[in-house]
Amino acid sequence: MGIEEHLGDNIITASLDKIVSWGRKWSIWPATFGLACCAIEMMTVASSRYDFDRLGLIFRSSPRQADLIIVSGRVSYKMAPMVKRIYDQMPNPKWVIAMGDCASSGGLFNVYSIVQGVDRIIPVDVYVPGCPPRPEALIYGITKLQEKIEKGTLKHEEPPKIIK
Amino acid sequence: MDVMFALTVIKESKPKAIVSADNIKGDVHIQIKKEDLLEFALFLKTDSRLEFDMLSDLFAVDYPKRAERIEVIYNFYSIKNNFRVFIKVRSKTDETEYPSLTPVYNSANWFEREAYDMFGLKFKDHPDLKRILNPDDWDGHPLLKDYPLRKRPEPEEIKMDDPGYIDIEKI
Amino acid sequence: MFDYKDYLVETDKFALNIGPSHPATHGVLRVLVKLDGETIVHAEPIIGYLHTSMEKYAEYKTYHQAETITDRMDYVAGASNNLGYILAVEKLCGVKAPKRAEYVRVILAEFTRISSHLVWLATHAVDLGALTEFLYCFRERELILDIIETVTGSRMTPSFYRVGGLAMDIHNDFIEKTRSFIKIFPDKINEYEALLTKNKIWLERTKNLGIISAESAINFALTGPSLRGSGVKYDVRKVNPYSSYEDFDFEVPIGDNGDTYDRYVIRIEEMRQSLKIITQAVENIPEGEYLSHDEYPLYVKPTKKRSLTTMEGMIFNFKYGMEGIKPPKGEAYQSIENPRGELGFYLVSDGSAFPYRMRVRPPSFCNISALNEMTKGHMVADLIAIMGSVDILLGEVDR
Repeated sequence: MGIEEHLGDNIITASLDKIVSWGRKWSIWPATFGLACCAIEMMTVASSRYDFDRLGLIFRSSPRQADLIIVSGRVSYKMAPMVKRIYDQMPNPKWVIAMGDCASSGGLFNVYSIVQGVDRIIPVDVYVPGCPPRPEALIYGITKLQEKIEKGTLKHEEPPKIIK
Repeated sequence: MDVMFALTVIKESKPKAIVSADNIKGDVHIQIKKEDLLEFALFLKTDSRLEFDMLSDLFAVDYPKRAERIEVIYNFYSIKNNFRVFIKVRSKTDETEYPSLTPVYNSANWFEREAYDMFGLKFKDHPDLKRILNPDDWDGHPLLKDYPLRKRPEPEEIKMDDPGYIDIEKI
Repeated sequence: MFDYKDYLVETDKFALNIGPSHPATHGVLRVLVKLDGETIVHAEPIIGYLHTSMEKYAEYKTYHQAETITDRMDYVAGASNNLGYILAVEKLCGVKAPKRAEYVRVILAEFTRISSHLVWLATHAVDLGALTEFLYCFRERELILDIIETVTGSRMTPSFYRVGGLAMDIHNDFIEKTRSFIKIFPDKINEYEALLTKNKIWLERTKNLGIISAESAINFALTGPSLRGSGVKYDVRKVNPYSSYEDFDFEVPIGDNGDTYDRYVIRIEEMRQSLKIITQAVENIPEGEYLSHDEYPLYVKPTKKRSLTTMEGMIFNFKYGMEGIKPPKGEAYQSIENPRGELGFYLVSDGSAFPYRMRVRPPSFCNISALNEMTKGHMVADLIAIMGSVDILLGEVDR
């Protein structure tokens, strides 16, 4: 019942870029990395009602097996080296979602101990606003990331720069 | 039994240590002298009429305009009798050394570390007085009134390569 | 002859670092463990990785703005935290909310208690390998969040209370949804219990583990289920009733020997008792105003209808919005029973519109400080079970 039955002796041609991007798009594995309030909503997305798995997202407990890190919550100065370290441990290609206002820009907490936006430490692909964002918002962010991955290429690219 | 009973017992037994005592909105607030603190806490814990067996909270308030700038507030609670008293101790900025209550109450350990972290108060005979919430190399004590709310280092100044290793002999 | 002693390897003490990013630490807790083989010699929790300086930040906010900080502190029990803070401000001002508002507050606080215990049960069970429990618990948690959203407009961070009442009156849907939830939920609790309570694996992994004696628990200032697990009947709702808790009939479950299993049983029973409170509150919710503006015009805002239709109402509303409330000089302490324990707010007012000092008495902070006491002598795999059973929340530990 596989695709070969329909194809018979024919072959498919496609660009390698497209096939690889398509494969990557549907198997984004996020690292289990929770910080604050948004982490609870992230867990909700993985649970019964919203069901992450149908988008091909399966939480991996080790950053070395993951290719997406969802920064879910405020990043303090004490935590910043660890966030960076986890990001560095992930194999390429890797993506980052800044979930919630605190991770995107510091949000509510414009105070001494919070890094004003995780994009000062690691490059961010998708920002999801909300305090905390609804699970639907995170799913929308994921679909946006999928669109970005789909347009990606296998060629070696310059890694994204950190905005300072 | 009312908490006012506790107040009368304390007043009777320790008249010399008390600077002032009053009842604000149903809570008993007692101000005592700093040097009597440890003895006072032991009395509160062991006296059979009171039995303040829990140090529920310990924190400080900063009043920069007063001569005695720092006020440390101890929140004692007695589970058996349902009494709660707030013991207050004041000190000048340059005399920030307090007796540690850790030998009497285990919960004082972390509270005193927090007070040290946030206000720079020293606790004599504390087993391991170091910062608890802020990074070890943090500059200043944030909850003092003259510490600016938004004083933070630049992201480039974070030591990204320092994962905070601790020597095994120290734990 | 075989003698196993010949094959024993000499073990050396070594350190193991768990966290701050670890799937089983429920956030960003870091634990440094000193091990002898697999046995824990010393476990030291290192906290502060989520330090948000909320106590400092509250000094720069008006009394009502500071409320929004409190529900980001203990983020799975937002309405409960708001209640503690608002009651402290009310005590400072000498304001009392009308009965209707108090009942709604109780319902919301008990709902957050159930939802918080569900999150705890889900994560605790996942840590010990029971994945189905996670899916079950989050299924019902969504129903609760829906109800909270119906009345407050937000899932996790409601900030719905105002000094002297509520932000707005409750919606009719709220009562109906709550009633239908009350109907289905008891069966669901039985479902959770069917998976775990008599499960051999669960019993093996939780019984006689992480025992803390009553005396030691009090000395460490543990509160909430962690203290009640050791057999101490201390519940702020019973001892010092606040917000009309004296009207409701409920029991406080206590454990026998203070192990991980006891703390599990207590939280399951607490969910049943919370449901009982909600049932009583919903059926007896009094009619009337939701804000006590008439009694305390200085501190309580007028209802929306009044501020839109009368002149004084509009002036009060404007003043309230522009200046905020200014409680008299003084200090007040109010504690409530949070899902995790006794949550206290100590407020110092200097007569201005901003709190001079807000101190939070954090229950999780004290509970986790006893981790070394609980884990000493156990295996390193049991550390996860014990840590989970204490039910800490790092947002509140670090504030």
